[in-house]
Amino acid sequence: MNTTKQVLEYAKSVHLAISGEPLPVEAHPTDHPYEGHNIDQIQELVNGDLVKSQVRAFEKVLKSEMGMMFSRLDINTPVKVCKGSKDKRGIEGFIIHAQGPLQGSGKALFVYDVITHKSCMVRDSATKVRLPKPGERYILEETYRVCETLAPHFTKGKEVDLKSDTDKRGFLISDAQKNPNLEGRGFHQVVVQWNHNGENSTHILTELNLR
Amino acid sequence: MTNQEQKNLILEAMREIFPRILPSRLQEARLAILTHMGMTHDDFGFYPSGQPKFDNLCSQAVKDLKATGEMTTQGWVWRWSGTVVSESNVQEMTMELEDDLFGSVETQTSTPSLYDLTCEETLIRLVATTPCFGKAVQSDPVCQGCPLLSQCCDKKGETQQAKREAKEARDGALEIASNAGYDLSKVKVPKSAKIHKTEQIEAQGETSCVVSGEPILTGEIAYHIPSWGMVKKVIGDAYKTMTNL
Repeated sequence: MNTTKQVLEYAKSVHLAISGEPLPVEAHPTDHPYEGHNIDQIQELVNGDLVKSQVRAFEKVLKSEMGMMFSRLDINTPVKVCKGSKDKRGIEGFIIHAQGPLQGSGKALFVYDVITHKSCMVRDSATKVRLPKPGERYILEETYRVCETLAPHFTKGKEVDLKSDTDKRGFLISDAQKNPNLEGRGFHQVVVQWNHNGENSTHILTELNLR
Repeated sequence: MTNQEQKNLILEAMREIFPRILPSRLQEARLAILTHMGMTHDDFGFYPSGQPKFDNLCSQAVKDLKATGEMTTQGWVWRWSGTVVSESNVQEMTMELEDDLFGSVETQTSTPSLYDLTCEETLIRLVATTPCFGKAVQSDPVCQGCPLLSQCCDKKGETQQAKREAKEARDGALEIASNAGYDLSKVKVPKSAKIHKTEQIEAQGETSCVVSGEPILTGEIAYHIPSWGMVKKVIGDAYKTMTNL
């Protein structure tokens, strides 16, 4: 048992032998050392020291990869906003767009959190690199892909509701398009006017359901 | 035979032959003792370093004889002084002196101590603040002046007894496993392995033994050692014995 694959296979067989059931999957397999299976559970089933060292090695490789991406301020680098206003501070998202700032040095970054759908524009010095959560980069890719696919269907006048609160309904007052400030990058988005209060807000397409 | 018994034997032999053979050089005197007793170095055993215990016991016996004034040493030469002062004589002399000095005032003959070691709480506190407790070396002057010496020696004895028992259990378990065809002496048990939480199970699926690599078939009785893996029943039993479960 040397590789993570071998350890996982053994953990699966031990779990099956003990409980008669397959080892459950608890997270997305991407960016996870054991294909989304609970690490604590694997540590309990097989050589815990070996599991710990493999997790550390996995994180080291991932950290180095993310560090390289951050040094170049690559698009899709996972970052955490560590400075700025209360609203911005703590956002854990991806760099969606980087451009020269209106004033000062460094770069201005558009950071988007694909899980909470929070976003902000920050200076690069206000961010630090982080490790992506399991499946987070997969969600990011899926968000790009789904937005691209759905864009032709989200046209002005169509009725929508919010996925996170389906009671909240409204209609589109713009066609789906990418944020013009991001120079063709980012996700397709629309402006929605909500029925209950008449207010307008902007959302990316994966946040909404077409009615 | 304990060290003390061996030492007493040597002392006795010294008292019998030294008046006749001394003065003599250290090596010859030691040989004479062995010849007189009809024993060899092997009978007294050896330290892990390979040094014979007999030489050390001789030195201790000589120290005692020097303390009572029965003999003296000069370099490597031992001499018999001829004046025998027994322990009882010394005690009597001490008592007379004390009587002269203190009259009827009660004097303490044991090692004086600031602590009342008959009080359990005091003892617990003192032990808690003595990091070397249980590691007494009787010949060490620092230990000799410690009020906890006797308790410390008892504790050391208990620890050594426990270690001995654990070693015996381990050897027994290794032998049982060895008879079953498993050499566990070279198996590296991971630090994470929770042998004390080992559970016996009836395998509900096929897996393999983390120690021997043999398959464990469905329905087979085996053990799961948390944070290590599955092991064959014989191996699990051996590890449980080793940890006194």
